[in-house]
Amino acid sequence: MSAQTITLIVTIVYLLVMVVVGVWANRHMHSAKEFLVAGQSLGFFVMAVASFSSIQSGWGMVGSTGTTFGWGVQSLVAGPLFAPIGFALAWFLLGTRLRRAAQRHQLYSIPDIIRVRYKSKSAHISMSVAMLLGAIGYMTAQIVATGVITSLLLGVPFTTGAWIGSLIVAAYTIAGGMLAAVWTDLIQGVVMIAVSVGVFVLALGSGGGWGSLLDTLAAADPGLLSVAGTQPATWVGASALMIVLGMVAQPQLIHKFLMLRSTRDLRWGALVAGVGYFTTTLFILGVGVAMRAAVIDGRVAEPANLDAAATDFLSALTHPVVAGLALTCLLAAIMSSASSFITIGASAIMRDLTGGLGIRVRRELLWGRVCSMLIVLAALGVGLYLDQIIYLLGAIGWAAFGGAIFGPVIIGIYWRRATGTATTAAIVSGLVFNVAATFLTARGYITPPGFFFTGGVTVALSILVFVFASYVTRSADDVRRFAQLYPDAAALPADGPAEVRPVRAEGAEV
Amino acid sequence: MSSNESNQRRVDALVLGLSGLLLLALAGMLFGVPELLTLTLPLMMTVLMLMGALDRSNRWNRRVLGLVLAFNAVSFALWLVVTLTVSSQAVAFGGLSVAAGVFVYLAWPYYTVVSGPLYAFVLDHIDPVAPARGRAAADVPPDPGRATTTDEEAARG
Repeated sequence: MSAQTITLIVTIVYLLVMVVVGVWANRHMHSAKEFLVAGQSLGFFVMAVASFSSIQSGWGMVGSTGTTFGWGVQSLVAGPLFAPIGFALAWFLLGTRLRRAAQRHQLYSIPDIIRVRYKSKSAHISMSVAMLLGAIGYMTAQIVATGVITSLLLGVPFTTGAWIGSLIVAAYTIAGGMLAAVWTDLIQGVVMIAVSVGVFVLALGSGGGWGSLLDTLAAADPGLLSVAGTQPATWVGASALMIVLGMVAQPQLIHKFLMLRSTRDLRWGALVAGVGYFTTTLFILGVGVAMRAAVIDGRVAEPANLDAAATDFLSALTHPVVAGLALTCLLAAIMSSASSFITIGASAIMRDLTGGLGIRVRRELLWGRVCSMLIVLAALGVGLYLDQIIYLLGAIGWAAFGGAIFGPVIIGIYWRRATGTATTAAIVSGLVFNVAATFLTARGYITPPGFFFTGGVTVALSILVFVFASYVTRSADDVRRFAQLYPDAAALPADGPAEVRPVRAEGAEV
Repeated sequence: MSSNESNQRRVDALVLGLSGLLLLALAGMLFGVPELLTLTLPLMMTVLMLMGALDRSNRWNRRVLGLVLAFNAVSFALWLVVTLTVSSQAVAFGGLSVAAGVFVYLAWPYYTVVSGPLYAFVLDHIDPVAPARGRAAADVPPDPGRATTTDEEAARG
């Protein structure tokens, strides 16, 4: 049996497993609650692995590997290295408070949180639109990555590969909703961890070990080994800020907290998610650095573009079976994010936007599936039309979500002064700035300085607009709604009864 | 002033602190001053972690506060070294520049390995439904006033 045949069999088996999970989940699908938040039934391990695998997308595994090849280790400093602390912050900030609110108010989506927290129609609608646009935007990056990987795996043209990969992820997500998405995320996460470790070892071996690889890069360009190399240090720092703050505000992660079965399942989730992401970042580090060294040594030709660095490395420097497994791992990374965004986008149309507009949807499950297909087709259309590298597409989506969600949701569930008007202002300003800066720069209408990174500015600006607008538009109604978010806290007398104080608190409180 | 009001003001102060740090970071991003980012980002992490470490009454347990501050003091020290060496491209730390080496060899594993257990410790102290106590899952009863339309309800008409 040839290596190509083995690769094909591995790929087909993997894709069949995904579809089987979708069919299995479909049998448990009786209502929108099951479709959108997996029946709020997730235990800690499934939730934690699904969290990291839905965050570790084609943007990271394909896009960041390409930029690590192109820019050196500063690419890692610009993002992946800070994902673990981002996960920890997400658990700190969202863990107990969001879960309490979710159980009390039956929250199935981020616009649901906005609706309950602010009771503002404009805030609810603008967040629904942000979710829809962000989901399509982020899906577009996944579609492009799917096309690259599937075309290599199956030996078909890019467009055909994009269609095949997209339709398979659409099939199991439409059949099984978020339940299928999280269970396939679990399988995909485990595949990603195992393959990443193996490929990392092979990548280091391909260049004579870690030290030898770094020596090769240092001899060619020391900038590849520093924070301020190809990209200015400010650009790198701004990207790191976008990753750290934006991580907490990614809907595919926040949704996992809405699906959790119990508070007790929060405990070790941050550690599992952080370690999982750390492990898969080894793939990015190893392949990116080893590919750069191989090109410097003349062992491999310069890839056509940065996105081709990972696939070129696997094709040229690993056994075909290993390459097939690794490409399947990349496909897993892409699909695990795509499935979440299909469901989130579908929820934004079918439930959130219609709810905000006062339209009552009766057969939510059926319409959820129809909207899922529409999201996939829209992303396919945009993905096949645009000509951007995966890293930039992903950064646009990440910043859009970070800017729209951080203030209204993350700060909003802690801060009584947050208002619905500020929510609308933050979402609109973030989206407009992000899209306008990206469009005007791409078209050449403006030329920002080299250190300027739109994503970081978008996130910081949106949060500041949110805080400022909250002070300007503060109202007693918003303070009251904040109290209603946590009814137990609202019922407290001024000093709070003893029974709600931390029961295990051994130290005094401050 | 009631203690509830005083506790709420703690959140107000954290939000204002975060905003001040973001303003400095924004200035750094707009005017190309990387030090304004490398100094403010770890402090933002501190503020956010402190916010997440508040209990239901917006108070900190002393042990939680101590550990969170200790974790972030180490984090800030690492970023301080980066701030002082960020522009250097000299290969001086494990085959990388000092700043890149601090991030790759120290900060990355530190955040990965320590932040998760820190959260597990904090959770035990901030939530009355402590995981280790094995209490039932239902922390808060659903809001009876919240009307949802499910497929079953739709089928029932």
